[in-house]
Amino acid sequence: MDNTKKQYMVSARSITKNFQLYANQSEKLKSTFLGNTADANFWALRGLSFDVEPGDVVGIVGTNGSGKSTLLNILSGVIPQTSGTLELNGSIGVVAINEGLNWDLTGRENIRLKQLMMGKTNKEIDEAMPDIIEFSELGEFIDQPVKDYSNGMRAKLGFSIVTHNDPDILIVDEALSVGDSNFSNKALSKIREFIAEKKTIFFVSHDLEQVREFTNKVMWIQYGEMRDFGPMKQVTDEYETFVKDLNAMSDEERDTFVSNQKHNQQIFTLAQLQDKLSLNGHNKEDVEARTAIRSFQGFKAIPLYTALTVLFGLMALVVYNYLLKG
Amino acid sequence: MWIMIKSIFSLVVEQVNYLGMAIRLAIYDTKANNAHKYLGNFWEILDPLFQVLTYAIIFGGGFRQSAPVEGTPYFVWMSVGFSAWYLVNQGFSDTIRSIQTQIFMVKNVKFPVSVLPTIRVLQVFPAVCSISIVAFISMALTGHFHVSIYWIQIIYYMFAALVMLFFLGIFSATINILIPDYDLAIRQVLRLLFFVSGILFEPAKGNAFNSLIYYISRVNPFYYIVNGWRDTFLFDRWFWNSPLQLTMFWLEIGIFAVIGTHLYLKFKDQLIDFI
Repeated sequence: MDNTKKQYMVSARSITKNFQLYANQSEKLKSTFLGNTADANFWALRGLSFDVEPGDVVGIVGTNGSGKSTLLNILSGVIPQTSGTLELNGSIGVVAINEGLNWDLTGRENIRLKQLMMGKTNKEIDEAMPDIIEFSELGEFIDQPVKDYSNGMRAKLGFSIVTHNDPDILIVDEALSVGDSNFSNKALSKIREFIAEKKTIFFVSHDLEQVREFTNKVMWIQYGEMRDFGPMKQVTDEYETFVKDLNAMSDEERDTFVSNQKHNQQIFTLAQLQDKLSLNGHNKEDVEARTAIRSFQGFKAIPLYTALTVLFGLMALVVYNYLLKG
Repeated sequence: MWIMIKSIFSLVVEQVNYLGMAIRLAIYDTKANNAHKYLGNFWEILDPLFQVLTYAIIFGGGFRQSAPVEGTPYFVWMSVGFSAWYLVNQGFSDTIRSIQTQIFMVKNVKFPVSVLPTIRVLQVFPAVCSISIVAFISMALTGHFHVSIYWIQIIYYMFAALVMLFFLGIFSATINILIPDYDLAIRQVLRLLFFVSGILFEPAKGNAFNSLIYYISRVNPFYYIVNGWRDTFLFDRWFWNSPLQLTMFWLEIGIFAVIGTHLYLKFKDQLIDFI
C-alpha cells in the first residue's frame, strides 16, 4: 500500500440508481436501444459520494426502502449504477441471509462451487473444506440440500464460505441477526479479526446497538440520499432522533411525509443533481463527468456496419459462385 | 476495425486463460446434476447412445432399410456424423441458456461471464466421446477402420466446431436474456436443421424441394462440421478440397463473432437488470 498518498478502499462519486418501470417486456427492450423511454422512474439512489479507508467499519442505517440494499448491490457488483463512478481497491465478500447459495445443492457442494469460482483447484478446496465445515457448525446437515436448511443455518454456511475466501472488503447484510447468539458471537469475533487485519467492512443492521458496538463510522441513507456520513456516535444519534420523530407522528402525517419523499424520488432528474453539485462548488466539467449516464458501449457503429457489409458481401459472392457452378 | 479484431481476439484469449477453471466447473456441474440419480454420471453416456440407437433402428434397420452411402454401411456413416452433430447441436442448444442460469453464480466473483457458454460446451464432451467410440467400433466391425494421415485434420474440424460454438454461444446467450423467446424459437429451427444437416441422409439435388434442401445444407455451418467428420474418418478428403464451403463457413462465423462480441460487450455489465 502506498504510504505517501492516502489510499481509499472504496471511493464513490455521485452514484445514482434509477429503476425504470415498464408496462411490458417489449417496452423494456426498446429502451435498451433507444435510451430511457420508461413511463415511470424510481430513483433508489440520488447521488451518493463517500470515501472509505482501509480498516474502516462502516455501519449503514436507514429505514426500510431507503436504498441500503441497492447501495450494497452496486458495491458488490450485482447491479450497475445509472451514473457516477465507483472505485474498489480489493476483492469483495458478501454475507447476507440468502446470498449466493444454490438451494438445490448440498452445503458441501455449495462450498466447492464457490471455491471453484474463486479459481481454487480441487486439491486446495479439499484442504480447506474441513475448516469451513467446522466453522459453519452444520455437522450432519452439510450433506443435505440447502433448501432444507433453516435461515440460521444458511447464514452460518454463507458466512463460513465468504470469510474463508478472505476478502479485502466484507459486506455484512443483516446476516447476523438470524443466527443464534452462540454463532453470532463466533461470527462477531471473526469480524473483529478482520477489523484487526485492517480490512474494510460494511455493516448493515436494523439493530442500532449492534451498529454502535461494532462500527467506527456510520452512513445514514434516507430516501436515496446521504443524510450524513461521519463518526459513529454523531450519526447514530441523529438517526435515532429521526426515527423517534417519525414514530411520534400520527399515522396520517407519517403517510404524507413518506409519500412526499417517494414522490421526490420519482420526479428526480440528473439535472437536479447537477444543480446541487454546482452549488457545492464543482466546476462545470466535473459536474458533467459525474452525472454522465454510465453507457455500455459495444463497437462503434461505422466499423460495425462496415465489417458486416463486407462479410455479407463476400458471402453473397460465394453463394453466387455456388449457383453458377452448380 | 482494429479495435474490433482485438476485442474479438481477447474474448478468445479469455477462454484459453480460464480453460482450467472452466473444465473444473464443467466437471463439477455435471457431477452435481447427476448426483441424485441412481445411475449418476452414467446417464451422460446412456442418453446419447439411446439417441443414436433409435435412429439406427428406424432408418438403418427395421422400418426403412437405407442403402450404403458411398460404399459405407449406413450405420457407420450415420454414427460418425452423429457424433459431430451431437457436439454442435447439443453444445449449441445448451449455451443458449448458459448465462441466464449461471449468472447468479458469478456475481461478487471476478469471473468473466463469457466463460459461462464455454462451460456448457465442455459438458457435452463425454457424450461425444461415447458416440465416437460406438462409431469406431462399428467401423472396425465392418472393416472400415483405417487409420490414415487424413485423421489429422480432425484437429482442424474440432477447432472449427469449437470456434463456431463459442461465438454462436456468446451471441445466443446474450440475445436470450434480452429476448426470452429466443430459446424456444431456436429449438424449432434446430429441429428442422436436423434434416438439412445430412445426419440421416445425404442431401442431393433432384426436384425443386430436394435441391432446396441441398443448397441449404451447403451453407449450413452444422453440415460443414458433420461432413468434415465424415471426410476425415471415412472418405479421406482434405478440408481444402472444398474451398467454397470453407469460405462460407468462416464468413458465417465472422458475422456471428462480430455481432456476438458487440452485443456481449454492450450488455455484459447490465445483463442482471434484465433477469
